[in-house]
Amino acid sequence: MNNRLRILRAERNWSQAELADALGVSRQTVNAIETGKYDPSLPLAFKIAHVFQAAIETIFIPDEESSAP
Amino acid sequence: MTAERLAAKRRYMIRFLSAMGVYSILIMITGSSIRHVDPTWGKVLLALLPIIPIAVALSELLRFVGSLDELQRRLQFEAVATAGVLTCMLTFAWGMLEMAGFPKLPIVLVTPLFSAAYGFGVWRATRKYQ
Repeated sequence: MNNRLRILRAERNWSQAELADALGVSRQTVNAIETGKYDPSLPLAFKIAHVFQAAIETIFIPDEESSAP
Repeated sequence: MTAERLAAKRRYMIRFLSAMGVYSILIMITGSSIRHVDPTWGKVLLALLPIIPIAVALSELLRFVGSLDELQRRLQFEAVATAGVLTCMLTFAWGMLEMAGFPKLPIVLVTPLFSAAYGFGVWRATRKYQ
């Protein structure tokens, strides 16, 4: 799963720590999501979407293989 | 890290280390005095005394894990799974070697072995998600 978390965070000039505080997770978790090493749970993905005021599918993009029917 | 999570971590560290401190003292007391205690039930009580701070430390560990976020909990799960697999493999292998004449492994060493394997598991899982 790819995501646009780093771009969205940069657009708002937020640090990883600030985003982590907003989401109630650790900075390491934000970093792991941004680098694609960890895919968040659905509740956390919805929380991320809420924090960025964006639709969840505009933040998280499935890999081509996994999105194929 | 949120202030709430920092406070939980600090509380965990204080309580866990305190319990381990009490454990160290009790282990020394047990080791030096168990031979001088006469009735068997006294020996049993003294031998089991260090289990109390260990139980406190482990309950604090569980409470701390409950305060972690989802990635950190997954990391802990993977560390415990690694420790379980390594401990099973090593103790089983040693058990087979005992049949070949190797010395008996004292069962009291299984916990330190699991703890060391758990430490390795945390290191491995942390690297994986860094």
